Amino acid sequence: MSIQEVKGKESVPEYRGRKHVGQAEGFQESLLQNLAAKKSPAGSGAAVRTEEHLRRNDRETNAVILNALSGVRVNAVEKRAAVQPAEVRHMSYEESDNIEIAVTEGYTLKGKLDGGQVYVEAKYEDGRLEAYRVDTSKVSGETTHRIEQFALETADSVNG
Amino acid sequence: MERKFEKNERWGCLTEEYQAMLYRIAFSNLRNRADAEDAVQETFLRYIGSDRQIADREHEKAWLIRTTLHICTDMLKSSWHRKTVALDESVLIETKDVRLPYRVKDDETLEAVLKLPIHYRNPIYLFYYEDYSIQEIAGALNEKEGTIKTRLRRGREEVKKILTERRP
Repeated sequence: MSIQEVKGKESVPEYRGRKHVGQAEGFQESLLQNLAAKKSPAGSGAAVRTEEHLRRNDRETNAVILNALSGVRVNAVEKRAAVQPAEVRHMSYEESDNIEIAVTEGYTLKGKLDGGQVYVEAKYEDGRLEAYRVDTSKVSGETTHRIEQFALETADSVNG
Repeated sequence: MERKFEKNERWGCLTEEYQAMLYRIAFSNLRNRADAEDAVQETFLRYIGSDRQIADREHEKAWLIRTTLHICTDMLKSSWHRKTVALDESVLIETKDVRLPYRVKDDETLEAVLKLPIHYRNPIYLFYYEDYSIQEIAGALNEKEGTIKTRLRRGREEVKKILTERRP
């Protein structure tokens, strides 16, 4: 996510799918975390602090991001143990193992198998860019959660 | 003099880096292989012939996209283009002609995007298929970010309409 988009956030009209008070604050928090992580050089103290902050507020942040997802009609409304927020890497399509271009839904997903987990980057029509780390061993094959489904598809596409 | 030298130094990697991307953008506008290739060549010729200083690579990329789009607009407006139909355009536009560097699962949607009016097609194509940010698209199309967001939203509705009309 670019700095300009973060600065310009106030001018962005409230997303019509957002219904609950507090989501805007939560979304802002996740944006600031992504921005802080992006600004910090890799391995610096600031980056480590951001990681610690993410872990400490894991439960809260996770719920916030999943709530934000519901605004773009991805069917994530409750806390998911397998989906954790992550630092946005700005991964390109070429680098990704799996991509989904959902023009009619207003988002794109990029996934890459990374260790035992799948890194998923989501870009939304309103300019939001968010990233998740999905532990596919905790995901049921019958999940209806779009990010979890996409992570499973990514793992399957790599593992054949 | 020094600036010109730097530009010439960039020439080799410039074509390698942007040729495919500019071709896809030109094709999405002109929907014709030969015209798209002409537009890309013209873009590079204008770049090398221009004395305008370009600050960094981001500006360079935006300049190239903007110039390609201007050239496409001029070609579409020309009487030659309006009065003729290219041989490969007389049949249905095939999405493989876009030559994306990745596999698209849903060709039908891409075909619908290529049928959108140009003011919706460019933001939608750049945002979804070239993975540009709203800010980058606004810079390349010389529009406000709010305008791009509106076009993305309305363009998406248009894509839905095209797909609905096509499906029984």
